[in-house]
Amino acid sequence: MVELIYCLGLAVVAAGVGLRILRWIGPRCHSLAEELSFSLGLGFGALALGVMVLGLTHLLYESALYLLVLTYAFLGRNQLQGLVGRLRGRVGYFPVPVGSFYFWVLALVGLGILFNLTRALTPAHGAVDPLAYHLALPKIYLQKHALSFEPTLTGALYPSNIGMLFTLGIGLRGSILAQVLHFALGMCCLFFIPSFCRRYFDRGVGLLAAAIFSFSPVLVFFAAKAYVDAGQCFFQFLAFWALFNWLEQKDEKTLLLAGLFTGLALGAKHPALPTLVLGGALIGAAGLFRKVDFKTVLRQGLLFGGAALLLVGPWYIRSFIEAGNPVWPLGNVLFDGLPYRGTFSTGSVSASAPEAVVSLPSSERVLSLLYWCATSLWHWSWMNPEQIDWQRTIGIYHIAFLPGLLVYARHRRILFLAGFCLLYYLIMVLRVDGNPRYSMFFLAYLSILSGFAAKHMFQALRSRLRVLVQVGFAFTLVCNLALSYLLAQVAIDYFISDQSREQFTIQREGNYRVFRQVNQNLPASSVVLLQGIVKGFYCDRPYLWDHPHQMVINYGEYDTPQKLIKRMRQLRISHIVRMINIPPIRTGIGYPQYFADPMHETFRKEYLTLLYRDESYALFEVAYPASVPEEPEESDGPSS
Amino acid sequence: MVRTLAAAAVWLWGLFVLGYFYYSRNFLTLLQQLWEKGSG
Repeated sequence: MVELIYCLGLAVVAAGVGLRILRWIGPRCHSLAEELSFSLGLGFGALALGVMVLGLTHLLYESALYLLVLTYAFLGRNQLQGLVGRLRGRVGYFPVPVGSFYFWVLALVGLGILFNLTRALTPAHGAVDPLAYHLALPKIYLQKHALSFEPTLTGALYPSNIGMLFTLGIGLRGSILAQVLHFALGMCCLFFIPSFCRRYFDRGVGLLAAAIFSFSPVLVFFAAKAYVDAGQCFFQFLAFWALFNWLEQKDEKTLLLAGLFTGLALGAKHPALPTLVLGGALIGAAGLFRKVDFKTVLRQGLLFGGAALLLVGPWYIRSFIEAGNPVWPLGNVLFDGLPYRGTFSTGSVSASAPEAVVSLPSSERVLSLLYWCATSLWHWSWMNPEQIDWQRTIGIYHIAFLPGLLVYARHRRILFLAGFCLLYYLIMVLRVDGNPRYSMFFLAYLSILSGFAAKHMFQALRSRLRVLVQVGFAFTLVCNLALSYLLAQVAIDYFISDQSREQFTIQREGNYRVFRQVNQNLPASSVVLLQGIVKGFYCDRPYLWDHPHQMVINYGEYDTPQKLIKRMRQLRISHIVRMINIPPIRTGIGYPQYFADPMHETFRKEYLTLLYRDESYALFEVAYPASVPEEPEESDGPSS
Repeated sequence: MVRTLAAAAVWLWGLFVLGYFYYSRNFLTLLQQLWEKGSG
């Protein structure tokens, strides 16, 4: 629970320093809510970039992190005082009348947030990506006090603004604070939506939109874990908000703000790239529409793109220096970067519908693309309990309400937003891996469209029927609340029990016990090879993955026990933690079934000594024969 | 007239989709599965 206080403190510091930066940039803000939203965005961005600078200068120490936060608090102190003064006048202000329909909607949303918060407050467990790299890399950076390059870990050189906030969270308090920070970024979006709607539509639309977005299964599921997608949504939503403001206000200060948020979004995750492309296209289209001269359009484009590239640039440069490819390992064919075997899909059709992939351009392919463009939203709306895919589950409200726009969308602003969402939807289906998780901000804007339609559909009814329908809508929110509660059951049970964090983690995270053995019994100089495992977060010793995509230790090249032991010696591997039974999904991507593989079995009998085993994992010590002398390291070393 | 008919169609669509979704076997099965997972 202390993590909540830390998170609140960091949010206050971010708001203060962010407001100072916002005042320095100088865009016109429509309301206090808008000013606060942009300040939070700039402030969290400044925190992430501050940690990045510490990492690049090898200063990632706990004391340096505290110093950074204190410096920002000092810089933003005057702005914070002013902000508190302005907020004080609103103490006791509640946006809707108590007992009204919107009051109950807000109450249900609040309860949903509370359930999800309990999940964010449990020790990191379960989900693969956070324990494999989103949290694991920041922990390694803190151990090494620098942004090191870990060539065997996926995402080692991805832009990592959210990872920097996780580094701050882990450095100040631990992985739970990192989770809570990610959750807070997601919940900030619930504040942004009504603030945006207050400017462009009205309060009712904003509240319904926030309710719809807050119960989107993809947000509910991922925001409470230490993924980075809610953080990407946070910056992307602000980037497009500022761009829309610029289209109305036409001032370059707002365009600069949009560029900065675009840079922060690009620095959160590669799938934010369409923000830059679409932003550039909007600037060009606005220039054409307003008949602005080419020089001005070019200057605006350079201002927007330059600001974005300035903030994301350090990540690309780092990646280029380490691996010869600014977006390693993506586009390796183009940049001829450090070898990496993984292939990354950029076409949604291949990701969501293998049957739609046709190798050559043909009428069949065109028809498949048209089919997936027309039906992806539909497919993402329904849940298949046999194979629930949370990242492609967006809830039913959009399918239910969006057709209402055909009747009720009459004004320029809503038509513009609908056109924008349609365009982004096509980009997302065709280019952004067809994965709603990578474009959560799009769902936030889509929620605004759905909220607009829902509000006008409710308004069109006579009063008694309207109440009946509103009760029906509230009932669907209760159903979603049940979903949130059931997802949070384990966390709620944990909080009302007297279970310790360690007991909880042992029970819920399969590899925790074997890593506890490693941490307690192996010397600090040990280097561990993880076989069949990527979730290395709980391993405190330096480690490498043997993931089939990395090229540091691959069993195709080192295909005899003699070659393999020599390679392990070069990499100074002293121990192996092995998953005993590799599931088919992993053998399918190239992991060996170690205990059934003749080469690995011969290797085990000759060179490995069992130190520990439980029902799922085994810990071995590598016994090097005298015939394999210690050699200087040829290639990339272990992860910490 | 056309607008009223369109509004009625949009209304019926919304009611049908929401009703079907929340009473569908899929949603209820999902809740049941999560309940069993949490209790287990």
